Amino acid sequence: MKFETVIGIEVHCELKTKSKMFSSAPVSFGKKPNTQVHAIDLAMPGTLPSVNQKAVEMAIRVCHALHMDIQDLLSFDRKNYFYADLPKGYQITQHYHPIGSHGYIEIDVNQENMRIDIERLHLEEDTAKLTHLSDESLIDYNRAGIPLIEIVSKPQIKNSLQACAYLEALRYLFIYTDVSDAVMAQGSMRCDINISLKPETSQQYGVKVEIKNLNSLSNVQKAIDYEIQRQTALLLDGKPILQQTRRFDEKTQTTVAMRNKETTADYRYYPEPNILPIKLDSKWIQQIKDKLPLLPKQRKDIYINQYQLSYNDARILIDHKELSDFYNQTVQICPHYQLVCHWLIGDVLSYLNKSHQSIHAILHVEDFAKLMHFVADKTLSTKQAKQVLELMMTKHKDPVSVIEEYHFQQINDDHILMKVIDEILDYQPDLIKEYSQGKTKIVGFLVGQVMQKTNGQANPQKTNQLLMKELEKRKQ
Amino acid sequence: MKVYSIESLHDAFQSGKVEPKDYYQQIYKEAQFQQKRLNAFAYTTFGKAEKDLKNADFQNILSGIPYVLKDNLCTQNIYTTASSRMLEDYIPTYNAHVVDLLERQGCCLIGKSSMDELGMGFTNMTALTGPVYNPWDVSRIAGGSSGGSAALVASGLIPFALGSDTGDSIRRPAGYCGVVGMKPTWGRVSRYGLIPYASSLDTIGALTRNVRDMAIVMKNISGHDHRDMTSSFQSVPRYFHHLSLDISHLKIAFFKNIYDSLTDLQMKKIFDDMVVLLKQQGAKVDEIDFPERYLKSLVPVYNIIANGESTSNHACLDGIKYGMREDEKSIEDIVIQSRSRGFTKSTQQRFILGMLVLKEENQEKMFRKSQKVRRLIVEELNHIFQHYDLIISLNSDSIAPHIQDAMKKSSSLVDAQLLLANLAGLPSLTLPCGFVDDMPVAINLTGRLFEEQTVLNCAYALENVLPFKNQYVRGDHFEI
Amino acid sequence: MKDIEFLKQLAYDARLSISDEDMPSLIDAYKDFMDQIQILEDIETEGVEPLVFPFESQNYYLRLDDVEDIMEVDDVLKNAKEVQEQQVKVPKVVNS
Repeated sequence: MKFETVIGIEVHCELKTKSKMFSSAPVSFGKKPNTQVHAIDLAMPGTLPSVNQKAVEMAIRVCHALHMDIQDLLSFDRKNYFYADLPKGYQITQHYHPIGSHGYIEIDVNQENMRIDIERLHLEEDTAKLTHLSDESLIDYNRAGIPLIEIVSKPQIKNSLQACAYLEALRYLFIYTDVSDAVMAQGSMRCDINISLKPETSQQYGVKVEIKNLNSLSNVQKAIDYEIQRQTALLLDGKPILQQTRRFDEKTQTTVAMRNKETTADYRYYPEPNILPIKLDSKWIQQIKDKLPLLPKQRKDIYINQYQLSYNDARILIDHKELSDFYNQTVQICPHYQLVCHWLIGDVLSYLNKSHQSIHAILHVEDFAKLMHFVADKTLSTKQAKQVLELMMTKHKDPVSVIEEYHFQQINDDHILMKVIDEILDYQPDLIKEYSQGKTKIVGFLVGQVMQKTNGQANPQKTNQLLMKELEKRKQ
Repeated sequence: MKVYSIESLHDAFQSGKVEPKDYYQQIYKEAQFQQKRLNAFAYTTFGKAEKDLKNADFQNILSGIPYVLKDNLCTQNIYTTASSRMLEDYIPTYNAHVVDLLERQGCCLIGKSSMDELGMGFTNMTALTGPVYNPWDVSRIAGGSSGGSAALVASGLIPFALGSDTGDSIRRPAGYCGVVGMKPTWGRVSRYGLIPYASSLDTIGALTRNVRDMAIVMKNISGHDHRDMTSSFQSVPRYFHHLSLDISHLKIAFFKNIYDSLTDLQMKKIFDDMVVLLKQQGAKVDEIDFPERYLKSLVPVYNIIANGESTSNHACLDGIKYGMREDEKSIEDIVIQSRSRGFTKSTQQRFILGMLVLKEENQEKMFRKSQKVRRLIVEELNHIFQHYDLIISLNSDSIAPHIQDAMKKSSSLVDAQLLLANLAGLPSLTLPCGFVDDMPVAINLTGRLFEEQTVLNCAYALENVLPFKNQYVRGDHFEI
Repeated sequence: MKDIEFLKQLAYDARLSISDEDMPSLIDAYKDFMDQIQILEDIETEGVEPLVFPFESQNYYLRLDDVEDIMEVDDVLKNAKEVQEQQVKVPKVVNS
């Protein structure tokens, strides 16, 4: 019997606002425990939540990027449960009216486009952090109240490859919309996978298993592959699949059961009575849309279809948002699309990787565009341009001053070049003889000599032309 | 100790007739006397009062005026227990918004007043510090849940106190103790820093001995606060300056079915007299019907909503980050045992019933059902307010019960009517209007949303023709 | 008996434990409460939307994303019963 895998994914993403979802305590990481806390985050009796505008704006940004319907009457609900990391005894979330619904994202699976529908996006708050010691647990409230968006996909994902592509696409979306750093290893982006298997011929979904604790894409892939294998084996044996929450175990590279879910938990959701519904200004919602930067998918389409970049080159640019932004700005001034791309993903990117610096710290768009012009119109040779670029990046200078200071200007003047050529040929009559005997290879050697004499400033093409002409002349 | 209203004490301080330091010494002494008699303080905060007094310049009307806060209003570095064992040693790190406002005015806090646990009750018998006794007769209850505030204002010790009102918690004790008590429109006064009972019903209000003082206090605690996302942006009128004795344009209604339910002839007579007095001043007073089925549903709707909201409002009280913590092996046992020992049995029952109504499978027929009936009741009231400015009724169908009978009293229709103002968020004021068996009786006036001024004006006019303005009972004759 | 089990579960949901001694009064309160709920059943609410707040009202205000009012660590921890390494200490929480 053949089985079909049905996967739905819930993604949580921490928003990089300055302050928390419902309090004015800072959102920051790696600080000493309990130093980033407001009385509201600690659920001090009498405190009331106050909704962060920026968090709402960021959620709307992502909603737009996911082509969602946006609920313009913002409302919140309580999700009631007791847990040591939940100070209020309930989490404020959006159960009944999520801010975003009915969206989709286009993902790229092995260079094939695929569309995944998204059910909902809602705002909520993070819990405190528990650290487990041998006999006790310690609670740090710094994380409590950090804004989160939760994105729930439709169960349309069929395998681990698609799941990873989906997560990757979302991760880029968060980065491009500038709402989060979305680092899975650090927990600023998290996911829960719901997975079930059903016979290919069946219309009915199988028993759903939830996998938690997935902190990298590779673990997502391994967990799903393992789970498909495990569930297939059970089904073939005629054994039941239990409705469970499982977690991925790094050591064994398998999933292990955390708890059985015979009954679904009753969270007693009800509307938050401390926050009146908030009417969002439709103009504001539109403005947020208008200010949205070009998204990865849009950029990819432009790069490949309009700028004729290769798929791989386009991918490399998009993988580095800063670089892609820089590229877009550069080609506005200097529309040599492929040239600019190759220089950026080549020399510039490798320098950035080496120096761990941001591109904006070492290069100005205008300067780089100027350099690209010099390369395009052959004012500079490739070799020269590389040297100029390096000096621009290390000394933070514009190309013109680098060229002047380090005498990089190419010599195009026939007069000057001829003087050098004459000098060389006058002292080496044998070479002309060799040339007249048909050894045309010596032209390259002679160009090299001219370059040497001019400290590499001679225009090689021009030198080549002039040399040929002169040699022909002297041959007679 | 001479007893003053806010206005007269302000004048006395400003004119130099009364030396503030001396006066406060008298207050401290009197407070100790009243505490023995009434048990109305949860704590006294004389040290804080001294500090506040130093900052007072006696320029503003409230500067240098002594007051008490119900113990569910958070005070920075001063115990705030909401009368729950769970919070017996809890010290807030911040002030409630209203406390900030009054501090800024120069008010001097002399204590935190006793209340029913978490504001849940109307007797003040469940207070952590024991029952509060009625100043007029210490064998009777002061009523609750703002019983301490009401008793202390009624004793003449202080000219005003703050309380909170979720069902009737300011107005009931005000009526039993013969003082003026008012809850404003929901959203008028920021709830930031009020340890809640039920968020959609809770309001912070005040108790005073006359309507002019009420207008002063109400103005000073009202207004938008960005920390409360239910706080209204509507501007707050200068109530005091707009007080008027002319009520000839007012149209007033009372409910026939509630009036008919009155069995005590003395009570009925008092209410009849009030109607006459209002009519004499030119107001139009009509007897109208309020659907019986809605009247009967007031208590159920209130209980379902209040229990549902409170069970989650108080889920934060788990003994982990603050409050009482029982020593147990597992965290779950810590939470269960702390809560089981930290809350009174009646509070626990409310939480359990709250869990019942919020259960997903029950919500439609319990919690949401009550919210739907709430809408019907509110719509009915809106309809009445299209034709009338105010609704009046007796504050209670009886005087304050004796302590031994307090818990037995079941809620009458008259009592239940006070819930209307909370379900609909309306401003509502209770004014002393008579005596039965030497105990005070009161009338309640409820107005349209954000029309506190109309309520105050009508009360002002009525107070003016009644002999109960500024009444208090120090209790020299009941000395223990 | 069924009621008792049910009420014990509800009590657990509220993280409360009800002793046998307190059970009768809880059952009374429960029965009284169910009677109250019964009263509402007689009111027709078909097509009526629940009223969450005392009146229909909307807000237009959102808090600006500014940092203020950070608590001192001492204040965060001063009401906690057990503290270790600047954190609130509890017995080990096992995943549930």
